[in-house]
Amino acid sequence: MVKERNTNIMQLLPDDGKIQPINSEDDWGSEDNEDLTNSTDATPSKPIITPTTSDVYFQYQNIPARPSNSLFPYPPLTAKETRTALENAPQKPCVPRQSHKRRYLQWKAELFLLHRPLIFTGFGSKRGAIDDFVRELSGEYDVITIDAFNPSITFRGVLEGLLAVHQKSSIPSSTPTDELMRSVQLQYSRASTPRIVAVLHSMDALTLHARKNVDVDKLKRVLGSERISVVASVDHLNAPLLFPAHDAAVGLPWLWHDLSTLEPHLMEMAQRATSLLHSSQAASSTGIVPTVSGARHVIASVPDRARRLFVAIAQLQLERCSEGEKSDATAQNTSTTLTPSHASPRHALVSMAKQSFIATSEDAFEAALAEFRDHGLIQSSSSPPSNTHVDGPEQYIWIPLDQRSLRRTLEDGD
Amino acid sequence: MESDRSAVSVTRRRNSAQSTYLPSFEWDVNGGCDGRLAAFQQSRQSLHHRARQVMDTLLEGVADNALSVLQKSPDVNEEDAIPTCVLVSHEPSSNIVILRRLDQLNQNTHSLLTLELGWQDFGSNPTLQSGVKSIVLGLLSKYADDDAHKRYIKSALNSTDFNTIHKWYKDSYIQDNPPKLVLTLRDFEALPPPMVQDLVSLLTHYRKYIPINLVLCIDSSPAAIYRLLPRYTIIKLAMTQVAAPSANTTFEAIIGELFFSTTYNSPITLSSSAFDVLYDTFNHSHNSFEHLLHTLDMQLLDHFFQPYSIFFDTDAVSVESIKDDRVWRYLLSLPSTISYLKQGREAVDRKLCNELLAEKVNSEGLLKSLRRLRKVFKQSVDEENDAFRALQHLRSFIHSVVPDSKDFLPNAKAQMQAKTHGDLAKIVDKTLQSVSLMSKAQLYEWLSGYADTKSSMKSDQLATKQLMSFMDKFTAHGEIKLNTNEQSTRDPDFVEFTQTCAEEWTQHFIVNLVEERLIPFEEIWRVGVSSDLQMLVNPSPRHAILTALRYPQKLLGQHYPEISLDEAMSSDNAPDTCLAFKCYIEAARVFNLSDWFSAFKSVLESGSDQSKKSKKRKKAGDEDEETIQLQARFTQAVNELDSMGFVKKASARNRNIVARTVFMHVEGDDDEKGVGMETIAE
Repeated sequence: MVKERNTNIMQLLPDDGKIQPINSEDDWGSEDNEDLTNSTDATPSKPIITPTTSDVYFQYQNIPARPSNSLFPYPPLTAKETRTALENAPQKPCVPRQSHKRRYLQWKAELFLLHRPLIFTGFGSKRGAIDDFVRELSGEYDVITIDAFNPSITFRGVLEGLLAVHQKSSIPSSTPTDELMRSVQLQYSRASTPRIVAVLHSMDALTLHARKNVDVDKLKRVLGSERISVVASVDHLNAPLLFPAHDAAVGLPWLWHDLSTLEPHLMEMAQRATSLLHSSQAASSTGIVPTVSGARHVIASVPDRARRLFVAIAQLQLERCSEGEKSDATAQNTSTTLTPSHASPRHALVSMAKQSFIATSEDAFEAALAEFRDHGLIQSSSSPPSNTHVDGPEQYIWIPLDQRSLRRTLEDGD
Repeated sequence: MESDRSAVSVTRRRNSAQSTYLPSFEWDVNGGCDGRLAAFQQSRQSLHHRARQVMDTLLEGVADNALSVLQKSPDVNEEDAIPTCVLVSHEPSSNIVILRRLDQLNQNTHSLLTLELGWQDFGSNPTLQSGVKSIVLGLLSKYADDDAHKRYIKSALNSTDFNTIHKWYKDSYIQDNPPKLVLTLRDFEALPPPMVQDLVSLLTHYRKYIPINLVLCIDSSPAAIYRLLPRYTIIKLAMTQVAAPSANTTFEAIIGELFFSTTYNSPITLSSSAFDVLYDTFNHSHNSFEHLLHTLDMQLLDHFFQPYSIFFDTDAVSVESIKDDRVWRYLLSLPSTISYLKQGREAVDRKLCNELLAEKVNSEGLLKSLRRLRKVFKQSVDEENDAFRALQHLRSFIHSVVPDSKDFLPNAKAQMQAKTHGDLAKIVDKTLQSVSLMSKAQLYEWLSGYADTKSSMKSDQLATKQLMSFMDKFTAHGEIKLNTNEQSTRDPDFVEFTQTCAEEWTQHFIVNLVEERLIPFEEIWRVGVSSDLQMLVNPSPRHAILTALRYPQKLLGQHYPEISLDEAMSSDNAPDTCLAFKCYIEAARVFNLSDWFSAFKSVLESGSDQSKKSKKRKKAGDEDEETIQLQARFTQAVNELDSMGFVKKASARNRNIVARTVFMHVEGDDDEKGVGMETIAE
């Protein structure tokens, strides 16, 4: 922050690392002008020297690129878990669908009077709003809906869909794709073919996620045919680079519309619900990522003794975890050694097993754990956890599941 | 979330009902939509047709040049390299026009065997083989007889071999002066350079036997050839460049012809803001003829979405078809009508003025007056355009006399802009100052430029009149009389004459160009521009996304009364992605997902602190549920931001570390004295 005016000129400079938000010339990362921000009387006394946008840029560049090393505390959720959780999550307000209705006439005129393909951008899922619009059109036109965010989409599938609209007979699978493409182009350039509406949801996903399945350039050539009216949506910030003005050369002079709905992309993200957050702690030496459901299967299939031993170790680990949390919440993740602090020494576990009559010998103990080890549910290391005082060589054993998963494993396993 | 449904689905149409595309207001006219649609289609077709005509005439000369280049190209014995005509256009549609014209010209002479190749002819995965196949089949089907065609295809040579062409050409054209073979690559820039290299090598080989010529169509600049092809390929081509006029010339010619011409009866005129939109999009975003037409289309569409456009085709409207008096009230509320009535100067139509003031609406008389007004409007536009043309003619004449003067540089675009904005006073003044300084010969030359046109236009009449009086006074036997001392001192009679001349012209220009003309209801025939149009023609998707993410309240506040437009939203209401984005813009360049998650968590928790305080004792199971939900919401938000391109992977080892891709200076506008979203707990 800027210090009070003083004789020392150096003090007028902004402090290191801090950016003084004086003039809201914004977005030097983008070319946009933010006209919604009003730089009003927020700062009554302006300092003499204020950072320019280039100062801000260089200051950003100087922020050390050193993120923390902490691991994500939870394992990735399964698609089903995500789905249930999101269904139960509180509903947030979004732009009402009805409010887009007044623009339908304009969109229709652009589609069918000017013959221009529409492309919708903006933040939020545009699927519902576009579907509503298309439902209105479906009284008059055949509609083909292409979910470009679906990873199973193929170029051939799109071509077959386009042919199937007017052709009753099925297409032999031996027809090469190029042949199909030609016949689609031929069919939809004839003036006698009734016009159809092609809807592409999240069209940019084609380039971003499914490159191998669909060649976007070829798809553009097909969609540029005379008798196809295209309604597409894109999500990516830089999507205009993928659909530039010279697409007009293939018959797609895009008309961009802002359709910010603020709706969550539930459908679009369903395919990749768990792909981004991968906890690196989960990857075991065997390459198997232990999961709650996997653990349950293993527990169900092992002999009773082995199951009891695993449950006992798990409970011990849970206790140690909750103790560790009370004493030092952050220690567990920032340790440099691989062994987590909740790992138990082997001799303690063996004696516990002997006391509770699960395993009477060390061999029996090892035998009981063998199946779990194979499935990556038990891990061991000879290096002690960082916050433990050690007397001699010792093996440490732990279950590579976090507290929450462990608890859920036990809930159903019991 | 039926994630297993197929990616492509087809919905059949339910009935064959025709829906409407243009609005029809419940109070305007029976069949308002159809009326609008007809007027729209008619205007659009007329404008497009004219624009294409202008484009054709503009590019005619270029096609002639290209043809002569091809016809004069050296023979096989004289030149090894392939004579190549490089057609440079500055936008994509010009080349198509040039090629069409070239084809027409060639049909008259039959001196060339031509074949055009677009990207499609090289296959969807462009290969030389499919290219050669297209060449062989294309040439044979175009120029060989049916029998010969089959014979050549059937014989040992197959269709993917250029030898077929060689053999056919040798057999068919044995005379002394065989026709030249011209291959046109229409989409040169779109073809893969290695394939073009191979094609050139192949053609060079056959050039020894067949007089092959090439035409390369280039949409950007001639540098593209040097960028895409290596030197050893370029030296095999003997290139001659034929260039289309620049984009600016195209703009000036088309807009000038559509809206500032005296020969073309434009269905609609431009307001100053409409001209600016055309000008800006052409200059700053899309420098192409096609886009110019598209922008015009959008403007027309916008115009016919307005309620008053129902009167556009005034003749088609009858008193009986008008449903309601509100139509007239609407017309009376147009800005032009209000200012017309307020000004109270000499009315274009006194009867109408009285009628309007008396608010005698929905009468036959009023409709008649409207029709008359339309004629008056058209006439006024014609007069303006005529005067404008005269001004331009005068300026270009002065420029030809004094080419060094910066004031008279030909810049039709700027003048058109000045005209639509009503800023011509200065230009007129400067131009007419020069008239009084002209010599006899110059004045004669300038005025006689008009005399050839026997039109009834006011400028022409004025010029002819002045020319007559000039000839009376200063010519004898068809020659200009010069006084003995004319070189050093000017003839006082002539000085007086030029001054009168200048005054007359000044008066003419002032009346027609400088003075503001008010015609009531002129909005009906003049394209205005609504503020949305600029967004449609020049969209900024990035801005839209960032604004929605940063200020969701601006979007939601219009629909939910409890959300204030100016205050930041609470974390209970704001979409999760906006909350995650809020944390995102406070992060450094590279950051950890786990830190992001804790920030996200604390934003959410601080939002719902009060409500949760009572249930402090929670079971472990509930807590798990809660964290799962939080995690799911966070994952969803991060995935959304990821799909919008806000994050990218930053570390190969730790997948939790991501990098920002969007930076902006936003701290200032969110710190609004405590009303901002909850600050994030450290």
